[in-house]
Amino acid sequence: MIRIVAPAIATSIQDQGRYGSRMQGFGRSGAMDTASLRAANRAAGAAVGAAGVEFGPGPLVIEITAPGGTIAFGGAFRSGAPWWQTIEARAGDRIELGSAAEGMWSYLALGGGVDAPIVMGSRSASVREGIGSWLAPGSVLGTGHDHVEPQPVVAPPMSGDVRVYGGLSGEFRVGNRVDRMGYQLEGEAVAGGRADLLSEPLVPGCIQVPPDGRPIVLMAEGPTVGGYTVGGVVHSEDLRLVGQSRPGTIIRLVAAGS
Amino acid sequence: MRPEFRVEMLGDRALLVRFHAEPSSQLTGLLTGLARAAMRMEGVLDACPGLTSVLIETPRPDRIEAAVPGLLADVEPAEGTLHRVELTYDGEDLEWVCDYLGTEPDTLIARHSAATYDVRLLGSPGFVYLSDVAEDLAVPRMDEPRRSVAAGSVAIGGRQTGIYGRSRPGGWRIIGRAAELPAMVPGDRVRFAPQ
Repeated sequence: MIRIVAPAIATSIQDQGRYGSRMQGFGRSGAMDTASLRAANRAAGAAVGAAGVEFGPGPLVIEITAPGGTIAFGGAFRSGAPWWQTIEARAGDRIELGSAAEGMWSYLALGGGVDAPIVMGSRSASVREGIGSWLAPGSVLGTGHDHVEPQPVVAPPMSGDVRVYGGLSGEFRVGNRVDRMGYQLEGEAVAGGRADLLSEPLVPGCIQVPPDGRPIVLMAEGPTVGGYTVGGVVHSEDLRLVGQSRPGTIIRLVAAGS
Repeated sequence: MRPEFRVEMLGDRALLVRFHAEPSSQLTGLLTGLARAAMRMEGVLDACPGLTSVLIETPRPDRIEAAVPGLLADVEPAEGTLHRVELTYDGEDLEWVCDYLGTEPDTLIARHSAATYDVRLLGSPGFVYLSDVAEDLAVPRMDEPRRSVAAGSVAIGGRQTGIYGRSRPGGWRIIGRAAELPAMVPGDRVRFAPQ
């Protein structure tokens, strides 16, 4: 068992996302960097689809309250613990992680996964939809039953070109409005944005272009329906690279091959 | 006659089947039926209707694209449930809406509650898009959306009417509040019962 002593900003339980509940009006949610969570799960000894703890760029303090088991950290690098490695958890251990120097989202994985109620097929919190909650000081994490043998892992790349289907390309600066719903991009204004289109479904990765010309990349908890122009769709494997880009970072959008 | 459609890829893991038709009850039934049929296909992760389209999420969009005409040929338009929603017509914009339309609250309430609305689609978090109000009940959306609209609010935006199932920002004009909401899916219908 693990107790959150001091959460970082936006600390929550996430897995690979919720599918099959769009008809009822629920979006995907899930980890902002699904590949990093999968790798951290492998290092900790959890099935790749298991849930872990996602946390934003600030410091995080946890305490191990029960003996036994393995854990692992991954995603945006912090000082204070081995990264991308299997760690033997001992009762009474206290782990204090520093702020992320680069990147946005980090993951704590537990051997067996983090236990949380399964809602519509997923353990992912989606606070705006009323599913789960942000973790707070004193939150206790139970261990799930998705045990596998811990494996050495290769850290996924944390930056690189972002492949986009359908149009939008070039360099953009990540704006200050970034969260689990969307990332605003700044740069030369993108023409042709409209806000009066019929409401049609959207997926994470869709790039909405509002009339002000500042594109918004929709992320894990983005709107599922919208009436703005869609200027392109980020390749599913590269959406995490947008997610790991801090405000002020320059990202390069390139045309995705067909 | 089935309306014509074209399939657009929405990135590498989703496709949108877009129909050349205006939103209507028949179209919503067709879209919902198609989304349900797609959900039953192997390799489909999720599907849902939009106003004139159906989204299908899948790791194999090329394979699913090829299957769309066959799905559509067999699709049964979805039969929805009729819900009765008790509504207190005391929304913060009711007076504004009546002033704008040049009508009395009693008249607006009578007309808004006389119609049966289709549930066209659901948006996250918890917004129920209903079919249009009568043309002469249309009101412009707010220039600046409210930061938070209470759950249960029923509002008009342009010609659309909708229900805020959860508290969220929004710019539609609020005419009433429902204390309790049933679970709704696209293809259902709603009648408002004034309280």
